[in-house]
Amino acid sequence: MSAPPGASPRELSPLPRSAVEIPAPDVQFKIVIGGGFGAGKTTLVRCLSEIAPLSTEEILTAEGEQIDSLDGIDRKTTTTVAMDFGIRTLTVPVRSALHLFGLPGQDRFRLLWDDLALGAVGAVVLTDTRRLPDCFPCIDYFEDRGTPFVVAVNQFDGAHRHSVQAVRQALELPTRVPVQTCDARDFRSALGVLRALVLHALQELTTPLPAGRSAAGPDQPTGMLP
Amino acid sequence: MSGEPGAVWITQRDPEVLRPYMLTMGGTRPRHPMRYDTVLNATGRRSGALQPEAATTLDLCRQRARTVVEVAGLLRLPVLVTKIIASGLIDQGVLADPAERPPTDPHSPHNLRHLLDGLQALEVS
Repeated sequence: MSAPPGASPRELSPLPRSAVEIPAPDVQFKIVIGGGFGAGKTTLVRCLSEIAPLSTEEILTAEGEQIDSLDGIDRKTTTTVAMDFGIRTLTVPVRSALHLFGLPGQDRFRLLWDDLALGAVGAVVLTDTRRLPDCFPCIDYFEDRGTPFVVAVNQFDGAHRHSVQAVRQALELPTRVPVQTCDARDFRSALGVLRALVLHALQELTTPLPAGRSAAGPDQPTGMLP
Repeated sequence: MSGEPGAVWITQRDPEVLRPYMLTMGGTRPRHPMRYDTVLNATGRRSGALQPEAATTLDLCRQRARTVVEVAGLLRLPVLVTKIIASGLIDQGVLADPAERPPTDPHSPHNLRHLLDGLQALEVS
């Protein structure tokens, strides 16, 4: 490719290094947010992100209604059909970037999950107690993968409040998997969920696990994949 | 062209519609492997003439480092198309090759403690 005709010498001179105004931190982490349709994944990513979160949303059509059941979520009119993405920069102890991905909820987007979950520190599984079984596919997925995860019970207005213990029993979760309530709209509450996850991921690395599953799981970084 | 009355090519009716391969100059896959959250850093080198989408990609990455998915979202382009455009910019040397950036090991206790400290600092700030 050649320079456009009429380009001035100024435009052709090399840009100074400082032309890159904010370089990427050397350290970057990734946490994925899973959960059923309408569990609050988009809200959680928006709440934590410092950039305008990117998501592709589409108004449910008659065709979509057959796939996305609206039971108990009568006030939600759109569903996320692609992924949500947000970034939070951490400055302590070193500048690092935390990337947040909301996993596409519906089963037909499951192919994306592998790509998104690779190299993640862990996962948050958001649940809505009105539709608890919606998070089963997500829990199964992360259990199979050996990805550390926490279950966050999103406290929706108008939803019946269940005890954390009741949710744990209903989901048949092992005791080492943390379950906690949260408000996905509240920054501190959302942050608390992330801290619980990282703490859990750390404990999974340092605590012996049942035989047959390595501490790191199959999620070892394998460098850049095509 | 279809012989049905009223049937036209969409590109005839709407000159704004571009096929993805037009945006990628015929490319169908990125030469440089990239993931959704691969970070694109501008190198500071000058570029030659660029297609509008490539020029915008480079501008965005010069403002600050951007992930592939961010550029795709901002440009409203499919992620794969964005990867191919970014790949071309890496070939030109105006974006850094992401393969040269060591990935952060998510299974290192040392790294996880850093992350925990960082989150804690956000909480008290």
